[in-house]
Amino acid sequence: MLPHDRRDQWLDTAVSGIRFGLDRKAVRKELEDHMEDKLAGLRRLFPDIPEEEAQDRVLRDMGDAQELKASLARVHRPWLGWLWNISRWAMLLALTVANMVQMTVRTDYSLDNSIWGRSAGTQIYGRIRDGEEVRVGQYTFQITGAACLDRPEAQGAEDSLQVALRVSSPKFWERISTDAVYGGLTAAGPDGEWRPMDRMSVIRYTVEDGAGGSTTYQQWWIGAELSRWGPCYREFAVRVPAESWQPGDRVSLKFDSELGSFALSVPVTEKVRVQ
Amino acid sequence: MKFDKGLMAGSGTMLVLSLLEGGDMYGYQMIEELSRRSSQLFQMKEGTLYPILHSLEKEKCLTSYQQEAPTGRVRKYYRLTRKGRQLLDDKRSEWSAFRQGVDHVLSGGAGILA
Repeated sequence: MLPHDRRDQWLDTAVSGIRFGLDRKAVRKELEDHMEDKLAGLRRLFPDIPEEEAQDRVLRDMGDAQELKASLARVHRPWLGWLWNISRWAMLLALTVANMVQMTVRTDYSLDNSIWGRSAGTQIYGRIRDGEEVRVGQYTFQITGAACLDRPEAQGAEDSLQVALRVSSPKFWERISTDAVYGGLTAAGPDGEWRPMDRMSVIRYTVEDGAGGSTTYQQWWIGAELSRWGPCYREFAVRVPAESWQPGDRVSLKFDSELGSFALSVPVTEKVRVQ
Repeated sequence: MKFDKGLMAGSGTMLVLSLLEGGDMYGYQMIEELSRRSSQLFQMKEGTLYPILHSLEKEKCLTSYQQEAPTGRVRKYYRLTRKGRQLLDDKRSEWSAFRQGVDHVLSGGAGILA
């Protein structure tokens, strides 16, 4: 074993009884500096001493690492270290749970955007469980929903075909960025026109309530939007015009970015009446 | 001359506090200074010194700080606190009484320990 390896082994043994990581590191550093001082002192006294012999003498003078380990462990009370470790893990767990809860809580606007959300009371619709999927790097893109959003065209609204695209990643801190999806995605409906999803078309229309009053709505007609998210996924609602749509017509998605390229499609069979 | 480990361990705390009474020091310096002051009689081992230092620090008898030496090496210096000075006074009194007692016994005089 090389002198430095022996020294490291001695130091590791001496501090191994200290459970509190920061303490352990600080004490190891102090002992290591002490060894360096000893080595320098030895070299002053014996300038010609071979390196290996100097290291051996220093290690011998430092004494029994096991004895020091026991003494240091008594001083740096292990339970305090364990308490610290436990509290640290508890804190990390609490933060993770809080983060997950925050991520899974949907905002009001996402309720409206999600195809199987609660924008039509408590009804759940448009869900596709075995939609086409493709893996690109660490991400899995999958179509998880599709529906035709039937809007009151008489008042100036336009129907849209909405597809839900879920992008999953195994690690929650590495979820795909929204800009990467918006920038790389194009979509086409029954009219066959490919539209970039990095921009949105919005329509305003007014619905009379029959009692002399009216409500103005803003409809997001074409484009993509983050609609739901969870610990390990982000889901995007992708909309294209539904003009000339017949049940069973497909919506196609193309993705092309530095992450990779793919194409997915889904038939839209369900129509949902929305305001 | 080599001493019984127990003798050094029993008086180690007092010796360390006494060294720091003269000024702040780091571990290696303390061992060297102790050796020098005792004419190489006391060679305190690292395994004795550091548990004493860390224990005194935890009891607030010492504080420590890092300082860079001219060589660029950062060293951990220890400083005596007010509580540490009080402890040193107590240890000195204790030692004085102990030494007198031992001396009396060894010299065959009237035992004050009785």
